[in-house]
Amino acid sequence: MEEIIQAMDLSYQYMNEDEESVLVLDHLNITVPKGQFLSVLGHNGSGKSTFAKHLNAILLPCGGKVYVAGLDTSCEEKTLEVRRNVGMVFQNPDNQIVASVVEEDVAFACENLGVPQAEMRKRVDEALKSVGMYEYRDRAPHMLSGGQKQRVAIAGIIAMRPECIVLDEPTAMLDPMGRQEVLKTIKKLNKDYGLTIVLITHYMEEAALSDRIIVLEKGQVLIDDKPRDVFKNVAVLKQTGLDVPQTTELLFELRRAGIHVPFDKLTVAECVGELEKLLGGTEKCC
Amino acid sequence: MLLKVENLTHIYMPDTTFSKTAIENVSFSIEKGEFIGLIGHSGSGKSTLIQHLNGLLTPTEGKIFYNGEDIWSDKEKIRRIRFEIGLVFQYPEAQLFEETVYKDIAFGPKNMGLSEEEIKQRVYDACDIVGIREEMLEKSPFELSGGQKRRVAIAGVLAMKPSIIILDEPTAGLDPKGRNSILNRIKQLHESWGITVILVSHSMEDIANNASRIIVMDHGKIVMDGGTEQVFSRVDELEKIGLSVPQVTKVFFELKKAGYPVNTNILTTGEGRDEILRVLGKRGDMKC
Repeated sequence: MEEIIQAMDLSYQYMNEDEESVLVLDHLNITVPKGQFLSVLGHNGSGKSTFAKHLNAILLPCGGKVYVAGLDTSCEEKTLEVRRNVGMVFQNPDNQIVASVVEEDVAFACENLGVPQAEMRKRVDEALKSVGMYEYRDRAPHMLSGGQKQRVAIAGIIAMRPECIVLDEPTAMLDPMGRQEVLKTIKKLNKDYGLTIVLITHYMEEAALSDRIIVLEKGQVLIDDKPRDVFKNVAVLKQTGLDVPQTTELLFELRRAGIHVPFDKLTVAECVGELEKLLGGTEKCC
Repeated sequence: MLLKVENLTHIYMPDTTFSKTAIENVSFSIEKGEFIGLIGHSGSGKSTLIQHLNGLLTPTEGKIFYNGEDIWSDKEKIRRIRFEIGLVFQYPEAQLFEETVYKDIAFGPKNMGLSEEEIKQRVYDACDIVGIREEMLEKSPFELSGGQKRRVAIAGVLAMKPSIIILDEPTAGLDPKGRNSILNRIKQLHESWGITVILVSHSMEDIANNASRIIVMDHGKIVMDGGTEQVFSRVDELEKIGLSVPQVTKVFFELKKAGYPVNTNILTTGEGRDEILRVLGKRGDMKC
């Protein structure tokens, strides 16, 4: 499979105020194939966001290399092309919206890239439709809900026609409904358009939706596996300061109480299914 | 009754074309020592409501009583209300400004006109409860990690020893460990200081694990107000207004729907485990 992102022996460090060097990424090797939905987990300070910022040349490696669609991100002439391939969505929707009309905001990146007018119109409309915000194209962004604003921000990236979108905790500031809207959109873009997704998140239920999860700890890869297999490591995850979905935790607790249930179940429906098997026949009895 | 809100209405930019009613005829009261969860989707009026409780916004209509006294009866006294009712905003770390952690936490008590000795005591007490170590006090707040900054910001409000503390999404953006640490500290604070807590959160799990009463807002009105179990038993209504119930609660509702004899008042995974074990045990007893 073709790789879209290759981090090879990637290290990053900075000097703190006491002039001590702090190693944030420690010889990291991560390869992301085209079309994958990858979630990156880790507690605050584990290097997640620093890693994300290397993917579109906001930060450049102190050691090692990052290749995006085969382009070396540390090569200055390639920066624009790197950013055209990888778009970023940040946590706070209010910090990323620049225009006073939704469709103008979505067109912003295209304008910078010098996309011709007719083509731009087409791309903006398509992008807005793909995130379900087409009906809002002539509204003012500040009148939208948090989830809607995040979808507009995503549309702005889509209009650039990138290969990959990196989202750094895009739902941290949203209410449950906003979170669902954004996640549904991400999932759809991945499935229907084959976009590569890198999702940085603290929410285990979100990570459960992806193809692959990487858990970072002290700038190194601690776990790299399918969600089902990652959440099996309940004890390890808790030790690193992470959590598992409540559904997994419930089954894990039952297992600890001596009940034989598999606990690699992630969704409410799967968990209910497992418990039904366990309770099978209960209601018929007496 | 510690706090009473009576027929509160707030209209932003009244008498203009942008006029928007953010809160409409809201009434409720709070007893000393309660732990209340306040939920509602974005734009439901939660933030507007809490800013009224310590007099940051003035009601368009209606009244707020603290210890039986209208907080706006004497405008000069409104400052005192702000010492009594502490408000921790969303992303409070953005409000840190002093040179050192100590000075930042001491800012509130200093404004109260307390003696240096008393201020010091309060700073130490507040640090103790939020888990800020002494050697951090002389550091710049900007050197700290996100979770530490947030704890410093909360300590700054606690140092005023308010009788009510309102926290607007205190765990947003923190990792699970940071989240649990903050919530455990708040719980401790509630238990050991007997402080009344109003917790605004989008995480139904956090609310379920902590609050004993939930107030639900939708379109500027209170649509539910009751015990945690009772409110979370109204799954369908909550989902209709863009909210949810904790995942584990949902699991038990689904099981019940499928015809299993389980109780649905399950709020934590521990309770869930015990309920499954109970039902299984029962089946063992009644082997037909």
